[in-house]
Amino acid sequence: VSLHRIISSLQNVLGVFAAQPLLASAPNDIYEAYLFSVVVDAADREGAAITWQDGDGAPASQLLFRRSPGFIHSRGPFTHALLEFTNKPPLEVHVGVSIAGVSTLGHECDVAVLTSDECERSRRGLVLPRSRRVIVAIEAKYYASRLPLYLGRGFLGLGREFGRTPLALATNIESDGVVALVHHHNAQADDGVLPGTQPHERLLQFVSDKFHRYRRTV
Amino acid sequence: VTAVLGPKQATPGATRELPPETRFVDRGLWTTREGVVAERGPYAKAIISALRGSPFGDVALQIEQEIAAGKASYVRQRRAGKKSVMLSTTFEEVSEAEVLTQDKPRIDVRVLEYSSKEADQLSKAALQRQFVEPIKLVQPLLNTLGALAPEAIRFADPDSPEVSVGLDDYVKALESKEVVELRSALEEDE
Repeated sequence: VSLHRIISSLQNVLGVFAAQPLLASAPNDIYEAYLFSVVVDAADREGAAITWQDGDGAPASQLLFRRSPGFIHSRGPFTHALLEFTNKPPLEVHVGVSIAGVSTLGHECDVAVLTSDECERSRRGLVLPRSRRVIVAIEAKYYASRLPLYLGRGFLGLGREFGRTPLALATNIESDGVVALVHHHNAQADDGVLPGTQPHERLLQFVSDKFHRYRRTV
Repeated sequence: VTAVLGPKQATPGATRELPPETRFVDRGLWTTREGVVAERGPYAKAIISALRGSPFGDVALQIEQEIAAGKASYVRQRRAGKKSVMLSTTFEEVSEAEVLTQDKPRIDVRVLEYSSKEADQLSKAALQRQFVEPIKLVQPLLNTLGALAPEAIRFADPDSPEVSVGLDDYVKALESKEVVELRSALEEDE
């Protein structure tokens, strides 16, 4: 099959793209949901009891995720996972919420695990949760081609804003330059994170370690 | 001046303006926007040549001067300490790239030899990631989240949560006739 045929197919698809905005947002949204599931899986492996709640604390029978950044304190129907480890304060896993860095400016976190106390503080006071109460957060990058270097620089900047909060950059695509940059600064980044891959296992282990540590802290 | 560049397989008559955010970055990368396919080698060289006399002429001149001085290359020579000139194009521009200037009349420059295997491979890989990989995420995601039905996982903008789309809608979009056709073409090619 020639490149010509592929391009012809693509031209058809690009037409569909215009008619179906779903196709444009599907990869990013699905990827964030997938990373959310990695975090939930890690919590499950560490023995957490997992339930779904909406922004008002009611049990959720279906999961509604944000397609663009939002706020924990806006409450409403968006779903988070409630994680309960024995004898530990509960945690919440959110998708696409804004969290305040050390500058007090808000930054979107694609997937973030926070203490429930901090989330409650945010909901009650209509304020952003603070990054120092984040247990672990993942920056998701679903790209069709290699990540440009500036995304690595941006991620390192986010790391400075979040102080000692554990952050991981996860991307579907091999991006050795960005990963090398992030690793050079002793931060966490995995490329090629997809189901059934070693990077998936590495990310799962990274998050599990954070839960393990949380469970064992006094 | 209009320069139309493209492989011989390109659809005649298709044109495209360079996006306004096109810019020359300090590392020798000439970028357009996210979701790009890299172009190097003779295709890049031809585009740079076509940029002479256009609003991007100073960029083209700068690149050509750096190449003449041995500081940059149209192919990867990082180990030789050279910057690599890389044109980043959108999918459409793989088949047809057009550089428009404010001046007329037009001069057409058509590249009949499209020998960049790298760009070919990159474009196929990019298509795979856009249309094939996402569907592979769905089942593991559902399994991990307690075997929920696809329609029970939904997405919405924070400003209008009442308008949501289900994971099943995404699957339908990714399984549409056109996408399946594309995926089939990609699979046959492998």
